[in-house]
Amino acid sequence: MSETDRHGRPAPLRFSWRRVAWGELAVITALAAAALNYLIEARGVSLNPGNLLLLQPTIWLALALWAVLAWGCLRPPPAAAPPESWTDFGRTAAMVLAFVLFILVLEEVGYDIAIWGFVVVALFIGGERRWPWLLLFPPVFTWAVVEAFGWLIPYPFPTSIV
Amino acid sequence: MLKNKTGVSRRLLLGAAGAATLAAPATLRAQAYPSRPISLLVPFATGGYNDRLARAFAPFLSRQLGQPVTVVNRPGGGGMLGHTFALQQPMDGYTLMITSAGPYIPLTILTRNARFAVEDFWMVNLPSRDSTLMATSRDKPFQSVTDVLDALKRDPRSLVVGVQPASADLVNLTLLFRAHDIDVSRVRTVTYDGGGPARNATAGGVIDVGFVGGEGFLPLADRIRPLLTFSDERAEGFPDTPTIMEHAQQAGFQGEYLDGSQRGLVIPTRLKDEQPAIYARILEATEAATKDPECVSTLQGQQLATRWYGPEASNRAYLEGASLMQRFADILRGGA
Amino acid sequence: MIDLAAAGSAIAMLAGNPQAWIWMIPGLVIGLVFGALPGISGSMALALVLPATLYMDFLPAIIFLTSVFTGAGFGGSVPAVLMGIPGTSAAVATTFDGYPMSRQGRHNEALGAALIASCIGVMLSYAVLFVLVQPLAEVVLRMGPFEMAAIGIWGLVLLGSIGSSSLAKGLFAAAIGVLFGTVGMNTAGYIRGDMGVSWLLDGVPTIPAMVGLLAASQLFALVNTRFIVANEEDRKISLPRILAGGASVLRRPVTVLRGALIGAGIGAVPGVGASIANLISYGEARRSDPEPESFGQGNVKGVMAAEAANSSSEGGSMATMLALGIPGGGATAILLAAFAMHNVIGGPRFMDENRDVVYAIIMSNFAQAVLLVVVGTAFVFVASSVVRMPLRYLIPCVLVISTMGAFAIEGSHAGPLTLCVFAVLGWLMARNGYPVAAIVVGLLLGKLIETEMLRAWQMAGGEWGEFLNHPAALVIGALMAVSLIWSAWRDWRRARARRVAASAAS
Repeated sequence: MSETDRHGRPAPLRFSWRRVAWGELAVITALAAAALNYLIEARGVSLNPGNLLLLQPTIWLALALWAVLAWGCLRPPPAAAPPESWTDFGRTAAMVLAFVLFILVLEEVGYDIAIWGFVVVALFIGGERRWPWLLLFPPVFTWAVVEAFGWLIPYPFPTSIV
Repeated sequence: MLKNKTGVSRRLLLGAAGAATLAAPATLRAQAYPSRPISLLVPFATGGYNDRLARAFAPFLSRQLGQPVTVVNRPGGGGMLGHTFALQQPMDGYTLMITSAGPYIPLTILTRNARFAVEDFWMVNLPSRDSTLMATSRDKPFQSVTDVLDALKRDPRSLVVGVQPASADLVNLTLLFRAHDIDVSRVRTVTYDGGGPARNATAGGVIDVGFVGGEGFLPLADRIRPLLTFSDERAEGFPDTPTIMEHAQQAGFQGEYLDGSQRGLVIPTRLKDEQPAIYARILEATEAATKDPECVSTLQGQQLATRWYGPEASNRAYLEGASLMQRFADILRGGA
Repeated sequence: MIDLAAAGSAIAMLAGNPQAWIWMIPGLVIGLVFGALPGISGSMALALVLPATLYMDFLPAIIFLTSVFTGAGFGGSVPAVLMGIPGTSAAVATTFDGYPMSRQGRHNEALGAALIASCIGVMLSYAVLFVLVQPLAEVVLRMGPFEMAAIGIWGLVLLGSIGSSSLAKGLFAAAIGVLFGTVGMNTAGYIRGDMGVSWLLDGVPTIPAMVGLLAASQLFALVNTRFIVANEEDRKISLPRILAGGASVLRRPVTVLRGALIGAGIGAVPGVGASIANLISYGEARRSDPEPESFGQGNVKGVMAAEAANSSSEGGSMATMLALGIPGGGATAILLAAFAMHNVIGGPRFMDENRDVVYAIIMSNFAQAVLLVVVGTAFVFVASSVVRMPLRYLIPCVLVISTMGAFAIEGSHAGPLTLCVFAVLGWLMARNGYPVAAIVVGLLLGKLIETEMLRAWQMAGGEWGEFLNHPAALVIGALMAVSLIWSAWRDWRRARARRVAASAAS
């Protein structure tokens, strides 16, 4: 999420906190930290090459690449595409959040209620405002999915109503 | 992760009627048992020995119990996920298991910190006993177990040996090599994460000698040369192959071995203790199904074991195997 | 190598057995529908219909099951093209170019090409099987860890930096993918990275992770879009355009033939086959193409290469099953179980004694491939209607179905949880310009490479000189080196030619 030069001139080489690609930096740093943690844990299990043969070199490679990429995040090239609007980002983030919540409550409230709830919320986030559709589509879809998969899957999945 | 899924949420939201059935006295439920379909849990993937046994046996068990019996696979973690799952089901007799109780239950306890005990499982009948088979490809020059051992004594690094890590096969390999003063740590040992890959590598000559459960070798029998069976009696499929006991006597050492897979019908011990009536019904049905002549011929046609040993003999064999494993825990935990 | 007498009696057997024919179309349809649901794999479909075959005769039962297998092989490609979600791991490479084609409104052509490439792949692989069933199985059985490791590394080299603007980003994503592939217990029995979660002992559940990574980067990125295909005109489902896509396959015989051979060869390797054959075939098509940059942007050749390989893997995996009784994967394991239910044990003896039955199975697969052209076209015609569905409906529906598929394949909440974690990861990575496809490739190949490298190291007893004793691995390594040097040289020459042309123009 770097700022672009409005006149399309090459960006000044001076470092600026505002130009740092914070989002990207956070993602790769988290992944690199997880990789490092993985290495420490794996070395704790055994130092035998039977354990570390591929793992250790791959993690070293990932950490080296992290250094290269992190340096790139500190001085990102001017973005080519216009940055996405906050409304658009908000809608996407809301969808991601809704999905995560849906997965987390699946087992607690039952698959049927969770699916119905997620579909209603996701339709709303997607821009559906016609209430007959919001009222009718989710239960019908939920019923169809639960019936179809109940027939397909040999083991039971927890449902509350259907 | 594997908490009882049909439980809490359902009970909270179900009406009073549902709750009443769930709370019905045990005796009432026992009289009705079985009143709905029964799941036959297989803690291994489709297509393996346990799966084939379960699918072949299910119709005959169903005939005895008067309810459909469906096979459910729940593989993972060397049987650990399925075994844990079985213990977490309600003790109502609607979840039975066909599994390799030995060696997988003691094995996962010893090497993977499984959160159950050997005694948590009760063997109804274990018809299938599989032993480790030491085998080589037909293309290899070794004609007998002595050829292999001589080569290894001259130079432990001269041959490549294949085995599954943390398995009964590994214990048998180690005991045999130790008896002949071969330094196991110097032998080039390739590890396989399954019996299938290890057998394929043996048959294809990728490795020089393989130590794997013998029954799985039957379809490949034309391509391998069996060298040694780790049991006290010769294996049905390989009647000309000497046993470790015969070999030990010849070579002049005390023969020791660990049984391979012991497979059959298993239930949680709690079910037997808490619901004696249901247990009696399961026992009777399993015995009748196992002895059903049609079942015997069907299973034999598919090269599956069918023999009635009963709970007493089955549990004795299972517990014996488990305590032997305990004795060799250092080899099992040692990795490869 | 063809036993003519047995071939004759196989024809007689098929001709005199109408039961063998009536199950083909239902089998294909069942396979297509199941294969198209993300997470429901061909082997699940087979397990579901297995009980129904108990009461059929042996030959109709096996033909019915192989029809389901054939149908499922192509079914997985339909969501891969239309939504970028592979129905099975064998359809991963299909998404690389198939989905961009859909976004450009060329889904008709992509599906047509995928269908015809699949049918040709099935036919070619069974043709190979018909002639070479025994030798193919022999070769596969002799593949040791050195050879397999070489193949895995080849795949990673070809595709490691796929779909990314920068080499560092591509490699970072691939390395993360490889690390995910190593979680759990490895082949030497060491357990790491499982974080105390018991279901991670067997590794990260591959299919939910893959669906999560790919579905998320596509679906979440589409929240602010109204339709998959932007142009309303292109949303039409057009039979002529599907057929035109199919016809384009016939003009690229080399791409399809190479894909089919790679599929039949690598697909025959028990255990790993189909899921890496399509990646290698795609990678080879990209590497040897005069315009490798056009791959990943909607190049129909990418779809063909992937589809030819994943469908010909079916014939390959049948080779080890028929000739040796070794199941190559879940689907062939169920076929073997079906054999057993009819008291037939696959393997060398079965091959020798029942050559006519084996030929009948192979021939019926030719017929299936031909029927698949018709049934598949009809199926594609119906399935394409999803591009007409507004995304605000499509996104929740596909996410829910993927979740249920993830539950179905794992049998527990582990599936949906994995799906969710990788969905969020995929979304974050894709937003920041990291290629999600490279993580998937790393995930699929990481486990294979670790397993085989480890075994190679064990076999060598720690001395890498042992590598020199494995000529097949050396040949694969040399081919890899030659092909890479050749394409580097070609790129360099092209760049120089461009420079010369530019300076001449100015």
